[in-house]
Amino acid sequence: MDFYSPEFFAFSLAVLALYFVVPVRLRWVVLLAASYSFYAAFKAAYLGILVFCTLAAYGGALAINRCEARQTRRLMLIAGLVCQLGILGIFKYVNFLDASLGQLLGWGGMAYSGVALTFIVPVGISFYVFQNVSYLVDVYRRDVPAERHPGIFAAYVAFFPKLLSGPIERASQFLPQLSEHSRFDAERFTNGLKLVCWGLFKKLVIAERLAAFVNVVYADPQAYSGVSLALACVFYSFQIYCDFSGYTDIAIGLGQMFGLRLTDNFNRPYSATSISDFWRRWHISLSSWLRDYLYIPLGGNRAGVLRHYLNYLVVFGLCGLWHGASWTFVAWGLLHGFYLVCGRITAKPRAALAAAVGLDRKPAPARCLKILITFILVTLAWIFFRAESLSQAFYILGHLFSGWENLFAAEALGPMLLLTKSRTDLVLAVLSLVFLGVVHALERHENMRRLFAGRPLWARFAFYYVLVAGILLLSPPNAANFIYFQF
Amino acid sequence: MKKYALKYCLFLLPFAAAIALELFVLPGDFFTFRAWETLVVKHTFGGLLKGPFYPNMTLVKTETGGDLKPSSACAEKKKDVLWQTDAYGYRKVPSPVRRYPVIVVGDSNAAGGGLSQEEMFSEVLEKRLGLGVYPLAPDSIKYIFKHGLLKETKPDVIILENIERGILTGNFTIRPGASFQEMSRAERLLWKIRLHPVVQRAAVTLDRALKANMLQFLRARINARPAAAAAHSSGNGCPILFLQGEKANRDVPDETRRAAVRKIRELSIFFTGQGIRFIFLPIPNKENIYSRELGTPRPVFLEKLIAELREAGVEVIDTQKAYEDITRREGRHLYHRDDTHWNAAGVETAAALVSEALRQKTPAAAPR
Repeated sequence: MDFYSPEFFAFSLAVLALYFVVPVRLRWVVLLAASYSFYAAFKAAYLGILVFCTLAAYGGALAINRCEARQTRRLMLIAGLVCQLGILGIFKYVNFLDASLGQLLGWGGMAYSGVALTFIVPVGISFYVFQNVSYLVDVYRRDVPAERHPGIFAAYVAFFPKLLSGPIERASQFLPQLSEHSRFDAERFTNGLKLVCWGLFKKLVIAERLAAFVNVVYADPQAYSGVSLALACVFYSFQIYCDFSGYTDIAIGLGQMFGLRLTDNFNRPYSATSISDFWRRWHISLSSWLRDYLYIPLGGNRAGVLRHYLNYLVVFGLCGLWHGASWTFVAWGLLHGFYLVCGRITAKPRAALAAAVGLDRKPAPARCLKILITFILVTLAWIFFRAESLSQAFYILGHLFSGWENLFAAEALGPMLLLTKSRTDLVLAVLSLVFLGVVHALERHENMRRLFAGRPLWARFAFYYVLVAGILLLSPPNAANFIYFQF
Repeated sequence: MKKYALKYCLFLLPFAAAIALELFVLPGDFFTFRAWETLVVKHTFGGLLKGPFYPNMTLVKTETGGDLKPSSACAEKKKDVLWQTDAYGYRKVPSPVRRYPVIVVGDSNAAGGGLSQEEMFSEVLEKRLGLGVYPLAPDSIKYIFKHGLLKETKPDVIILENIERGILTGNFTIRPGASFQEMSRAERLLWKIRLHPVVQRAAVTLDRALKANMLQFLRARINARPAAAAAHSSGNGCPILFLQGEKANRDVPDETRRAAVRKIRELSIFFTGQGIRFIFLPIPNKENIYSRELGTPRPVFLEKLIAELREAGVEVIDTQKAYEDITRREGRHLYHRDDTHWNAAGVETAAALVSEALRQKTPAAAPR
């Protein structure tokens, strides 16, 4: 069941109706049954892994909660973490490690046939395992009490709008909501529905339109000049943002329709003025998870300069690995870690340079410049994220600046930009990005909901008709699944 | 709450009006290019629409061009095609006939894609034989036992039509123990519900609403991209177009062919065992017959398959030889230039071969 398919929305509406009809004490049953059937629809065997991880986290947290001795609690926590991360490791990383070992031994002239396990990575495993890990650690730290109701806990882990790609919800934020008595609220439902529409628009209209360009170039980068490669790289930056934040909007919107608040995952990330600012705005639930459960326990910035830099590299290297069992993702993560280290090292010289050229007295141009530089750095890193292999990524990086001399030759520009051979595609791609930019510019000052609240009905309807008509008319017939589903 | 309900109604009004316009005001084929698209069933609603097409329909559609490049300058000229379907959703003029001596099971060729009703293989054969012929198409052979009429009336002859490329992927299996027998009371009731005009009309209306042809039409206009240059063609000026091109004429492994022979032979044994004459009617790929124009070696898969089926005692019509002879010696086209399917001449040729075979009282072969 595709997340943007009519079947999914019919399913969600049916679950919603049931959710508000049954007695409050039985709502978790509706959520759990719906979430498990949704997950089993992908592959029934996945459900077993989800149930195992849920039971292990539930039992582990109760055991930690019951123990008073610090040492025993610690042992319980370690056992729980080994269990969760072990499952993730087996299903996601065994083949990657095996292939890497084979490659390494091959370079050393040794033969290695490998184990070649034929696992299919269960969808969403990285998300629910990280959620369970945070829950176990929070219970260990006594930040949250262990949930005693297995059904409510299972519904927390498996709540279907967020099951496949997050947000990675903290127990302290989400668990109590499942026991609250919330009545159907038409305004909240409508606001959720609007967010779902906006998410669908971002995914189906913007991300999918841009994907047509990006896919053409990444399928055969050697066939394209630097201008086309650069266009594909910039388009990919917006594609992945619209794809992932579109999914998140749908998830959060659906949550709202149920009366459940999910964590915001994005805050206009391409308005970031530095890489650290970018990570405060991009995939917020993951970056805050990494900060709270990895970066700070590793010592953060309190353990000396070198250790601080090493912590950046470790955290972002693992962040890359979390995204996928491939060296391209590791390279992407390490590059972000490297950016942050460089950012720290060059902070003073950059400030001095800005003062020397007078930029420190012109906040608006300085801010624009920072946003532009951050966007370029992030876009360059996305090349590793999108590339099929490291060699492809290096090829694109190496050829990004070739062929620009033809930029102003009228007969050459067309083929360089019309990658899908369709002028309409390019016009719609650019228009949809302009539309996104306008919405984000408006959101900078005020939340869209509040912005629209005071407007006349026809103005609001006009905006919603644009959204719905865009979704219905501009979405491609065979949209690809969300990029983050693979993680 | 009331305020929101009113707003939702107001917001959805234009959408409801558009759907009503499409379903109840405009002709059913307003947003489609071919009769097939207009009538094909997309959602069966748990078996309510059991056949491949909407039941009890009569449609005359002006079709331009074939299914390979309908909007090209070389599209074959406009042609009015008649489509009539029976209560079961197959392309047959509704009639009170309760038993058809001949059943043609097959793919879109047997269903008459690109052809008018009177040009269909089953209709041409019916005229030649003077016997009732029912086109169970497009469907696989097992649907004989799921059809509300055919499942309990044993025919004299079953003709299994299959395009060459379909033989490689064809589903020739039927449930063990399947037989022609009277329906139970429950089955009869179920069919009574399915065939009820009100149920059929409601299911068709719902399917049309879900197919959303108006929306698909607009989407196709907005999202249209230039067709890939890979449309396989040959010749100058207006080319002959192909579905798979050179790929269709690649070598087929011996084991694949033998597996197809085994399956078709099993079917032949199954039906002849029940006293039904079984005839296999393979239709050569268009690429096969025009291999010279495509610049590929002449494929031998079908030739070998026919020989091996005959060797195994299966009654099979040698369309390969007949089609090659007519195309090469007489220079007549047996396929539409811009469509994957056979044309009226192709149908006539096959029907002549089959009726000739059927005139022989006893089959030329019996499964060994």
